[in-house]
Amino acid sequence: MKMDDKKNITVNVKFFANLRDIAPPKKIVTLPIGSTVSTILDLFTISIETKLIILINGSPHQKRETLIKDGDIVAIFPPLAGG
Amino acid sequence: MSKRILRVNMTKLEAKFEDLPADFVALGGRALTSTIVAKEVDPLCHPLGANNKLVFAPGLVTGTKAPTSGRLSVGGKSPLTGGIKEANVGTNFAQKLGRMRIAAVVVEGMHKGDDYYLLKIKNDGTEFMKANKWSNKGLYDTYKELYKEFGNKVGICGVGIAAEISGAASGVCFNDPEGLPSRYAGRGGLGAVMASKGLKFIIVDETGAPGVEILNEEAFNMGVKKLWNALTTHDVTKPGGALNSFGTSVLVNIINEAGGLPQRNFSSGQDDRSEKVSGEVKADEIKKRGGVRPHFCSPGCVIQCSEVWTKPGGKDPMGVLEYESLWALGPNCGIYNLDDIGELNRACNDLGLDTIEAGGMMGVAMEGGLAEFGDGKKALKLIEEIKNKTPTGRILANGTAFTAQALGVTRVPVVKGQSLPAYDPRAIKGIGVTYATTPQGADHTAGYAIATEIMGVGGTADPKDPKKAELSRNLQVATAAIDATGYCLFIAFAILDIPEGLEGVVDTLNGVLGTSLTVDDVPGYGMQIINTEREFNKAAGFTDKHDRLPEFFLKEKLAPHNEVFNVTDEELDKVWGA
Ligand code: SF4
Repeated sequence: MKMDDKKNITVNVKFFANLRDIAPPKKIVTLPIGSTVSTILDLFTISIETKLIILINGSPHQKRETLIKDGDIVAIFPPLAGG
Repeated sequence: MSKRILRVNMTKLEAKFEDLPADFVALGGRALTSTIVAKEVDPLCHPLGANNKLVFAPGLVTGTKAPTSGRLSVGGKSPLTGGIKEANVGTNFAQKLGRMRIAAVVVEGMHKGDDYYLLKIKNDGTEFMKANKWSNKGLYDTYKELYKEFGNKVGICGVGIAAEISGAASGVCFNDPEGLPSRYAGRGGLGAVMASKGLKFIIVDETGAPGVEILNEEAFNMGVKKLWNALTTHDVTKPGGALNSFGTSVLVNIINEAGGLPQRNFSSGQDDRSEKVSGEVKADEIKKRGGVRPHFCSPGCVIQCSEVWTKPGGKDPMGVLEYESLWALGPNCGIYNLDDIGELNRACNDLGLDTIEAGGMMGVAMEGGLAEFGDGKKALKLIEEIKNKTPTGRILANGTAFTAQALGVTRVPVVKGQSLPAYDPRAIKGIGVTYATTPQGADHTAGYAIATEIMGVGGTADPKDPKKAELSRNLQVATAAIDATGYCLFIAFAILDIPEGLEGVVDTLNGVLGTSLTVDDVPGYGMQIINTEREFNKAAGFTDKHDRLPEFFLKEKLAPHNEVFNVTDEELDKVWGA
């Protein structure tokens, strides 16, 4: 188990708005160390072309290649605005 | 028939059409309200006295087939801020004025007696009627009666009990497509200005209206096409997109995730319970209950961000439950129950209260001990105090700053006396720069930096970066120009990213005006509006020291990011180069 802990990270992934038609609202996932935003999108079979707004721990404008750390909260939205 | 101004003298109970002066021809919406107010209103006048004026102006293309253009500006000197005010609303009332070629209705003077009046505007004349029977009554019942009396094709503008008691938190109410009193030129207490003059309602009947004059049909049609293409292809504004599917409340979750959704009178930027009142949950409920979604505030909108919220079982349609209203009356008061928030919004609409100011007021009232945070039922009882015109109600009807002062609360989220909207400036700095520096008092719509800072629309900017003078200025200038056109500000999401969309907007203006403006003319046009407004405010006593956020934003850290508002005064002064 210890070995696994070192190799894997646990991440809280959340999907919002229209994305909930294709992915769950919330899921805790275990990923290998070195995973990026793209790894998560692959896991939920979301095409690389899909336009998204991605926040990690509340910081927006995250790129597909951003590395994910253990305990991160990754919030994924479709393009949106309002006011 | 050329464009005209309807001048309404409430002292004499006279209304006369005048030709629109030649130098006003290219002005519409906010450009026209702010120009007339600056020219005709003494900046030092009492906002609720005979020398203030209330100006209604549809945008330049309002009333045409240009998409998403049913907007109206309402202007005057604000009893809330003491400065110039433009409050903006989407309603078919605006389109009717546009088609009657009424560029502005200017209400001036003051009726001396206790009577309230209704002004009926027809294409070829006007009529005053006593409106006392609708004084002291809720606007939901009143609008039903007005439609019964005047037919369901008219547009209605009115003010409620909050305005009758001179509340600086009162707005000017307009009908939505269902005839519900749910569309507001809400901000700045302009409802009280209207009531102070003895004017309770304006009814617009466009029978026989000639329609908006279009001097260059070809340019106009080309512009409509380009803008329509931009709006229907941009991911934010297109049909089936998030704004169309979930309404403005789609922002609840993203702003909460970003740590900038103010909770319990701006004491935290995040709370997991916010999800319970999110746009996603609300859209599901509306579907279950048989409300309406999507929906438009005015015919011809392709974005259609609106909706009709109801009680359980689809009963008692309330109207739209906007993000800002939902936040103000919800998380800002620790209330996470959609039905409680919906009923609070209904009570605000019924009394003619600005929902943002009412929510800000309730937040400080709760902090001041009038109710517990989270107690929606008690909040509703407090709003009833306004209906009953009790001393407490009269305090609450004057908004956030006044209520805070009465209760000894020192965390007072206002700028220039006006309550902050639904984004905490400590977590998202650019919107704080807009709150501080717009001539309007804290107003998110004046320069919506959130689009760039959080959503990546019109470029990207780090929300925590305090260098935001340029971003805020550019947005404020562009917004002022859009507010003159009559297009809804939400077209900005598409035209900031799609250049042909902006070209389309300019083409439609050229079509209506017969001009040859280019997109390069837009910033200068917007800047002129802001300069006019700033000059008025300066003469009313405002200095750059009023372009600041309250002290607590600079001192108290906001969870979860533990940020303060660290934009320097120099950066704030850079916005207008003071
Ligand atoms: S986008 Fe929304 S607020 Fe704007 S005009 Fe359309 S329905 Fe009205």
